[in-house]
Amino acid sequence: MNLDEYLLGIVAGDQDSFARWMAGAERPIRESLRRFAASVDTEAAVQETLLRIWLVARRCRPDGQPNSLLRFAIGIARNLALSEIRRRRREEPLRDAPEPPASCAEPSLPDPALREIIQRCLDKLPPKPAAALRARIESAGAEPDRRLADALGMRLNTLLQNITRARRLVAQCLQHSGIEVH
Amino acid sequence: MDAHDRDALIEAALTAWRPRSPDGLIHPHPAWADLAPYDREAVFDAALQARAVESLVDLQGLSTTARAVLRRLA
Repeated sequence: MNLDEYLLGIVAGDQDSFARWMAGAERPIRESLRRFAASVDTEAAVQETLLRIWLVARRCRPDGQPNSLLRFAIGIARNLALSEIRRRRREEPLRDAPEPPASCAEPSLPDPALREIIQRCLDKLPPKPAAALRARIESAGAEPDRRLADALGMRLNTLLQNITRARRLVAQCLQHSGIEVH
Repeated sequence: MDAHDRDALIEAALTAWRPRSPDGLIHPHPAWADLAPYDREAVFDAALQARAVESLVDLQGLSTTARAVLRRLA
């Protein structure tokens, strides 16, 4: 899949094009940061990378190979991670892992059948874990967990335990269907 | 730190919410900063799985990370 089909739209300021690009690009960007995971909050790095791509996509020069914007983004993510490490002057050594090969950056689209199965597993959750996980997903990073807990009338630790339980139950449900989500 | 505290910190770090400074820079989650390097790698693996599930149930295939970024553009 070549996500560069969205490049012109992104450069033109079309958020829908950017959303479609992110749907395919987020995972390979995140995976490219694996070797920094012990030293850098990769969630923050992924979000910062995506925001920067929105701002600087016009600087991307397609080279005739697929996914030039994704490769551009992976470079930005790597530089952000290295900058963060330098900034914090961490003494923790980086894992001696090799650079991910280009094939790691192959984006893909979700399978609708898999979506249905996951939704069925979510629908089977007990009420409190379901409410906690739904609040986390629907908030989409807009609110810290403490506010979500307050809104649900739960203590923060109870919210976190319920989300963990929900994830575990969904994973078990998927395993029963012969599916493992990585 | 006992196993319960560790699990709570890992789950807390899995949210897409991140503190931001007034200039808009995104900062590490406080829970992530409290974790040992090995546990941060556990967060990384758990986040891959969590975001995959979120993307799969979202009609546009977007995770909470992508939704958080889109909200910043609005």
